[in-house]
Amino acid sequence: MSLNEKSFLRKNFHQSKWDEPIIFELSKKGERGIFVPEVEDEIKEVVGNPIERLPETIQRKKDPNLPELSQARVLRHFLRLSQETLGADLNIEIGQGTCTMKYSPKVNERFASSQKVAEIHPLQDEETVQGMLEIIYKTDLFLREISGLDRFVFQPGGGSQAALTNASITRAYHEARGEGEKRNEIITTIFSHPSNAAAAAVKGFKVITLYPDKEGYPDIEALKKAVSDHTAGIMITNPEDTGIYNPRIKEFTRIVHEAGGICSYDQANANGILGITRAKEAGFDLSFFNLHKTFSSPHGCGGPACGAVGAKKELEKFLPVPLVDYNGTKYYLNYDISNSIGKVRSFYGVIPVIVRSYAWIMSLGEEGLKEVAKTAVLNSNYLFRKILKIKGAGAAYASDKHRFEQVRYTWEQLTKDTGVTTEDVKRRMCDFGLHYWLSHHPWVVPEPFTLEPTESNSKDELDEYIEALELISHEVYTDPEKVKNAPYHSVVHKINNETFDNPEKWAITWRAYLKKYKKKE
Amino acid sequence: MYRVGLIVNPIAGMGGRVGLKGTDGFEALERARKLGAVPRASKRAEEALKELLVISNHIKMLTYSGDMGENEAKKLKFYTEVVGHTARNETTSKDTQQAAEKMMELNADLILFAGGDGTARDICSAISDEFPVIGIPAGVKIHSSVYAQNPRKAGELAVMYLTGKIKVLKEAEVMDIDEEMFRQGVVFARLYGYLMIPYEKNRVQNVKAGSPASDEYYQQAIAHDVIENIEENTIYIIGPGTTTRQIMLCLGLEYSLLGVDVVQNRKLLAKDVAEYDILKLIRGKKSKLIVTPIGGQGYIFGRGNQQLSPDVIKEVGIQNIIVVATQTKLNSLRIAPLLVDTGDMELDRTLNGYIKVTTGYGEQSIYPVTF
Amino acid sequence: MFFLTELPLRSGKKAKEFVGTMSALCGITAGVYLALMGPQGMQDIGKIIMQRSMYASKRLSEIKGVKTSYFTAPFFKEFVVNFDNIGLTVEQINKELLKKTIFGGKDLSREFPELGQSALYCFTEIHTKRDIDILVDTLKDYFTE
Repeated sequence: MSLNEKSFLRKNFHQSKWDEPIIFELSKKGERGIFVPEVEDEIKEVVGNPIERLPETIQRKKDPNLPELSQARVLRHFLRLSQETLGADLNIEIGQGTCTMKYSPKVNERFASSQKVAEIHPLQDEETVQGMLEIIYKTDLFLREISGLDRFVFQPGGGSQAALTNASITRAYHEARGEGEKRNEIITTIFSHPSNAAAAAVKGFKVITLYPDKEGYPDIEALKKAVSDHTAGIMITNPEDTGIYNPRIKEFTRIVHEAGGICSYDQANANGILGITRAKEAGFDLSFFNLHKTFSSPHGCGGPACGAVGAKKELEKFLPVPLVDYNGTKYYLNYDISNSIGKVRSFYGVIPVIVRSYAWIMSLGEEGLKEVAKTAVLNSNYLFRKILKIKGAGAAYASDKHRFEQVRYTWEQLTKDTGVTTEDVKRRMCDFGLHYWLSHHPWVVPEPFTLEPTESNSKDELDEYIEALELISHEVYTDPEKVKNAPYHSVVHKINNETFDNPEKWAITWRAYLKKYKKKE
Repeated sequence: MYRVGLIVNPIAGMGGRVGLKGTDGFEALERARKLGAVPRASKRAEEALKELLVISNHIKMLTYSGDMGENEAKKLKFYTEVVGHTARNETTSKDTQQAAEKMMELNADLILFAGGDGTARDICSAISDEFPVIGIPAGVKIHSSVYAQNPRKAGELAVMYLTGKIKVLKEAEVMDIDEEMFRQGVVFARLYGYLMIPYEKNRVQNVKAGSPASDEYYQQAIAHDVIENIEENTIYIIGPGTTTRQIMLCLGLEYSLLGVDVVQNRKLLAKDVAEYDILKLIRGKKSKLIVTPIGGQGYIFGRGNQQLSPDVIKEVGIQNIIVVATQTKLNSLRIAPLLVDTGDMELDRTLNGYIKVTTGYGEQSIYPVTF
Repeated sequence: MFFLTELPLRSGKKAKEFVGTMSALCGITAGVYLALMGPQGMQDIGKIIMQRSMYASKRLSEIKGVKTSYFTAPFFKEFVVNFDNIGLTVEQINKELLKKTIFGGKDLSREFPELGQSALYCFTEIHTKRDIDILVDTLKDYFTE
């Protein structure tokens, strides 16, 4: 074990623990958090009690079952819960590979929460939202430049919805050519983000999954076998979730085009190639960027998010409406899109997310964006080399080659040697206040973990994370029980997560909890 | 108090180090001894038992006498009850069978056994197909998937099952190859049946995903896909395996789990047929062949389904082979190709390449095949 | 400790399901709001919104040529206002209102031509009596010009 001379690793860390009850258990009859201003007396005189005018059948017989708390108690409750959560700003957030958890500059929050952004209504007259429309339009121009594609739309509220939009456009394209019935297969790879396969299935496509070849690259021979006149398109990630970039990507898109298919690029995470390679040159027709990943809008524990969908000129006419256009004097919403797939979300997108991304791009400029990708890839390869030296750790496939912005690692050796699993390591990482994620399911790489350092972390920070992994590996080989029984310094200790698999035991609402658990007491 | 049956096949694994392929039969055992083989099953069993020490206060071990388990259990100071004796010096497969039967009679919560494919076969023939077991790998031949990855893992799995952390059981294949033929270089693997093992779901499946993701669930998805694409009048030859069985279950037909069944227009034409019968049924007619990889190595032909001979495959036509496998099964191959060993080199060469594998409803993979 | 991560799923059997990063934080915000309001707060706000929107409907219907009774069923915060007898389009009216920094109701004439020159007006707890009176007076002034 090579512990650094100057170590930042916090061995006495403990996550905040408040023993906070469920909010319903805090409820006290008659307490109020806020009062709604009463109506003026004149209004009362004119309308009386309008509730009486509602048919009896739609009037509630019972009060809504909500907790009753004062404002200070509500504040305390939610602050405590937030302190019991290891958020991105509270740890060296490199453990959520594929999600690009970069530092989101706080100044951008001020733009997003400014009244001029937060309080505008999507149905306001275009004249009154010219500034906002300009931001959307210019962000579109930026993304065109970054991807080489011809038009972007910001409606989809996340990456999965963007993938679904791409699948819808692919379907609309073939339908417009009278081949909708016949072209019913979408090809993907096992290490592409699983949303692609899921989105294709939701659109009614058959999904054909390609496995890697012996070197760990997407198998081009398998692709040649997979394409036919049933091929609607390919939906893939590159670099894949393993951090391996498909060097034959142009060949891939050519094969699919020759078969008559559409090529969709899942660029949810484009952090490793920003300003370096483009969707257009790789031969893609459609693409999407997750603004909450590469473009620095925070994930917000699962949204609000935005999956910006880009299309080549030939596919523009299928994009969802409205698009934001500029006629030389003013910006306007363009609903006049001939073959539009319709709307995928209300109005024109998640505005605060676009604003943050716009600000982020503006602050970096062309050179800055390239610097982001270079630093992210450099950081990732530093981490990669260091982790391969840790006893029991490895990386699936092509471990002698460079990776992009992330790597899927494996503790296969560690598990074989000791029986300690990646799940155990994950729990032990909590004891150092560090987040650590495994992999999408089902696992192809055994005992996986996926790390993505992004451009936001310094060498010292990466070293701290590496030191934690080294220490845990050392513990596993000397005192495996310690790791197996972790965590010790978290909000809760080891829990039996089998209940997550059992719908009989789920209680995701207070009512379900009362029904399933309180009854028995 | 958990009651754990422990069966050690003391001679398992002796042939491996000295280049013999298994120790089934006295002669082979003698040869192994002469070549300097030493028993290793005992050591492997102890490795597994060590994992159970954490709950040893709650365990009662049921064993047969001497090196069939008593020694190992007592060495690690488990509370041990000897429930039977071997009459002779050498343990035979009869002893293993009797021990397993006895433990089932005594209502053990679980049987842990150390051995190889032969041992698994003995256990399989002795106990009901609902009784939970875990195999500690100690033999030379480990084609059966009733065995844990390693002894330690077997012990861990036992603890998780006993303490209720794992409640679900799954069927695992018991396979064995003919040792005499194997020594001569010919692999003839047969599927002997299934045993129930604790199903450690989170290692392989969708955890926290919200879907009742069991092997059966994915097998049903595959069955729905296959059934939806059934062609009128075409004869379907359904190979052995749990994934292919689900097709028969979804069709509501009788089936033979270890054998080959033949279906036409959703009706059973013949059950558990031999090569000759298959050829008679399909000769000159349009037919399709549905197979699933059997055993851990990913064989689609030549292991456990020898009825599907080169002649049958040629009569059906390679383009009419439908391979079905859950994604979990494919993933477990770790990007190694599927394998064929039909016995006909020419045919194996033709099958070499890529094949479409149905992995779910409307889901396929293009997967490499080699020989 | 609890991490909400992306969990997109592939289809199983014939069912299809997937989730991802969408709008979780909005859910937390709504949870905080409901906790602050409590059962009485939600009752109050429902009643208050109805009172304000009914008052607005009543006042608007007093303008000669304006119809607010297009649909007769009880309504909550939104109702249709018809201007067919005014002789002006909703677009023209809204342009005029905008000059006075008032956002008029959503123009329904394109999506629901059968409703003629109609707009969907919406009033909630944030609109005071004074706000509503200014709207009504502005319209009156405009129509009598």
